[in-house]
Amino acid sequence: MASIKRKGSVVRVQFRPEERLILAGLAGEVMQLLAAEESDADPLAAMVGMSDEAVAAPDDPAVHRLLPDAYDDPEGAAEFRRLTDAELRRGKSDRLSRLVDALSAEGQPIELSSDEADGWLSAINDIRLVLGVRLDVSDDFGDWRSSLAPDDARLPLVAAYDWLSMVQEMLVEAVL
Amino acid sequence: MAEAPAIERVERPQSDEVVEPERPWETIVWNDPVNLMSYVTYVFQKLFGYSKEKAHKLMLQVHNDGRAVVSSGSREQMEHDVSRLHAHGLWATLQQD
Repeated sequence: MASIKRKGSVVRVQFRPEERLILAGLAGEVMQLLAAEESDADPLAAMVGMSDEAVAAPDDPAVHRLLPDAYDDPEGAAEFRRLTDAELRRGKSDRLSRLVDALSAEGQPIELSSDEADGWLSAINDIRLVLGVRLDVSDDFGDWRSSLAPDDARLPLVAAYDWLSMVQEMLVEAVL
Repeated sequence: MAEAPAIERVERPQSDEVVEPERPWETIVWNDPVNLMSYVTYVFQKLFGYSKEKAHKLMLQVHNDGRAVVSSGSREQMEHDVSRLHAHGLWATLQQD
């Protein structure tokens, strides 16, 4: 069972080994999603975070949820995406990568500064957003979940989603 | 409970030259079924420096009304706010008031 506690200025996180593995695995999958849909932009442009050419909105609805439109009007949304897509992707990938690194490091509990905890919150939330799209989570998620048959193939993902929600809630409580 | 800051109105000058006041831009956060209420409140406090009361009130507005204006100002500032909200996984857009 995960334990997350504030101790002075640090947040102490303790996971069971299997929890670490599951969280690191999910983080890795979201990193792959962000990388797989990356445009073949000129690497220099990608490095400075801007593209000369239009950057298409992601086809995968889960990736689109991570990188949403900033404007209702398609032209404004496209221009904003051209200027910010690379930086937003990189920020998300970096936070997921730091989460994986911390989970793979030796030693428990993991100690996080408040900045690191903020990065974890964003990264864990991004995983929840992807699972939320995959599971088609809506406001009546509770009812939907209890209607699932015991052998429903989605149950492991639902369990992961619930666990992530609990961890996220504990982490918010610890940093606030 | 803290009040939202009023958007300043620019007074129309008395001269013949008509200077249209620039309408401010707004950052809007939309409701979604995944983001936790506690997390949304935390993000408003963290990114905008809002008090817990104000952040909580805005979160409830998003939850109950489907959307809330969380900041207003120049277009550049609002684009910056939207970027930071997207980095934190909130669904945000900007538009001119």
